[in-house]
Amino acid sequence: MSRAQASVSEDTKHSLPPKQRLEYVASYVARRGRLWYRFKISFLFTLVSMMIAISIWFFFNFIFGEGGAKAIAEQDFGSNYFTYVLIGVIINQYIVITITLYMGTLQDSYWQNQLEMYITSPGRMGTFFLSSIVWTYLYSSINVLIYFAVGIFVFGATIALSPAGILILIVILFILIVALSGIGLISASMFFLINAKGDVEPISWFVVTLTGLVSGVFYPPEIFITHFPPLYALSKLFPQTYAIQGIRRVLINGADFASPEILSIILTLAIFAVILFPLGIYAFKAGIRKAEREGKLTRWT
Amino acid sequence: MIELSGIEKIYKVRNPDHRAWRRKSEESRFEELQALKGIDLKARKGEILGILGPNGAGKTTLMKIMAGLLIPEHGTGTVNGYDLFKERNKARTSVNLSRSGDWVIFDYKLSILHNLRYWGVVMGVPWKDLDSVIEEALTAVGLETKRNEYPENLSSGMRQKMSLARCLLSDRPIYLFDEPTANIDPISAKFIRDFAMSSLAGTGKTVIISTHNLWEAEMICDRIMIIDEGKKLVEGPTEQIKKTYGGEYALVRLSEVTDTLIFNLEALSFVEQALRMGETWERGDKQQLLKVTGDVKSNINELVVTIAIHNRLFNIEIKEPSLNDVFMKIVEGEE
Ligand SMILES: Nc1ncnc2c1ncn2[C@@H]1O[C@H](COP(=O)(O)OP(=O)(O)OP(=O)(O)O)[C@@H](O)[C@H]1O
Ligand SMILES: [Mg+2]
Repeated sequence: MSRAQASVSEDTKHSLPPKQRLEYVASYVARRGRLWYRFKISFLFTLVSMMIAISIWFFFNFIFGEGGAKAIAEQDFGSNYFTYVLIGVIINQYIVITITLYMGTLQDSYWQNQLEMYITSPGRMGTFFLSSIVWTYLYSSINVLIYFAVGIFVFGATIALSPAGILILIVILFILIVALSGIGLISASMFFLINAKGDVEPISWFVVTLTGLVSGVFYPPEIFITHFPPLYALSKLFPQTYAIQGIRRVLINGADFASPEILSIILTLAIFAVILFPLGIYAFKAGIRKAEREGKLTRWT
Repeated sequence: MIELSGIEKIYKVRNPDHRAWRRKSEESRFEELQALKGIDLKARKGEILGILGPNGAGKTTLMKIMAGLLIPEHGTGTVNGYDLFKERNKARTSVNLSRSGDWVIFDYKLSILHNLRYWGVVMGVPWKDLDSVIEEALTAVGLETKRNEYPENLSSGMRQKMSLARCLLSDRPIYLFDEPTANIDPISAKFIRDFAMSSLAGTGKTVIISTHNLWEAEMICDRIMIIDEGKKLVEGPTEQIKKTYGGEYALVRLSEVTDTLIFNLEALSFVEQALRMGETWERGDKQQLLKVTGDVKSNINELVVTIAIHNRLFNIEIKEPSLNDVFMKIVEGEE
């Protein structure tokens, strides 16, 4: 090797020659490309999420005016529209949290290699999820209290709360959590069943995104009857649609157990719960079993 | 107690030759990798069983099956008397499994004590027993002075000790250690070995250790099992395996190895074989080497007498085979 060559190779330790730099860039782009390709579906999901968000704003168009959401809501509940939306948005938070909690909790434990421990714990996955639910609800209840306080004392939302009302709220929320846990567990099962280890899991994504559109968070689902009937039918397939309606009845109209509407809502929710929860457990167990067969309870063997 | 019979594990692994875009590709998307081939195993109460084998032999796979974390395709088994398939949950909670590298479960922003408190509770330790149990576990691994430190500041050996401590928190009848002392210094390793022997096996626990440290296995394992490529090659009491596969021998240095001497030696009942091993020079003397195999250690006097009658005997060394020799012989012989 000549002296000149030696000095060149000496230099390369501190900076990359152009060719190597190109190779570096190409490798990096290839890697990102590969990663993007692996998660290409998530891009699609993001796109659809955006479309749906836009259509929520579109239906806001129909809030005002004759036969608009504002009119329907105020006529139906006899309250101002602000109270109506405040309740909708807050309940929606709980809904989203419950549906995504299982997948999130499972995912965290998986990436931290903890899943095997939780499975061999005498508490099994049930206690683990329960702990996670309790923590998440305690945590998010602080948010909710702040929302309500600001809504009531600053913006003048009017809320009717009686002891009987609180009891109904607890009953509705409890059954709703059980029903949504079913959906959440099905969603979490996808982690192993279809290897949904990227950022988007289709089932929770589907339910969460559509809840905002159809379940009566911002406007009554009834507005679809005139504007787009299929969405009205879809709204009836989600338990949260009924729960949101029931909770508004309690918080705005002070409905109690004597109200036939409340009773029918509780019954409907119970049916959802009885169907969805066992289904969720079944799917989740199937997912874990698949992982146990493949030896993939942990990321590294 | 653990009993397995005919365990086979087949992993499906991505076929490297498969191309997603080649529609009519001959290769299927997955190919099968048989990690365990008909493994029978029995681990008794109060004994330490060592599972040895080269990388990829299937040790971890076997451990995971015994811990109820992996479902095999064939075979049956009981763990602590519970059926590995029908009573999965009970089998699982009978086992404490420690895997090398499982310190990643810890939260680096919580102290060792807080981490262990959490995992203790998860593994079923009641609050009231937590402190004493943690104290005991930390002492067993030699981390008792570090309890308020943070895992992120620990050396890798200390992290390993911490995860061993985690494994000792819940009192279960079976302990599976997958490479427990990799990374751990000799003094601490001895301490941990002593703990495994006296406080675990000594109190009637079933202990199974997989390790690459054959010297360690030789010291603490009552029985060992050597596997390679998913097949069991040997299993039995450590001493017996060493005898059978290694065999002790005497290395003799003497002035001359004659045919008569070899004849006389082989006539002795305890000698299996006498072999010429060439010659060396030492301090001006020509020495010939002779290897005598058989039960030479307990008959050393007779051996010395037989040789020394007609020859000048410089030196006689009894060589005991190490597990290392046995392992090399068995695993290499397999190839
Ligand atoms: N989850 C898995 N999926 C596919 N193949 C696997 C899986 N786990 C292990 N294997 C393969 O099975 C074989 C046995 O692996 P195993 O981890 O049991 O070996 P080991 O004896 O523990 O090795 P080491 O000494 O390196 O820890 C290896 O060929 C490995 O690649
Ligand atoms: Mg291993």
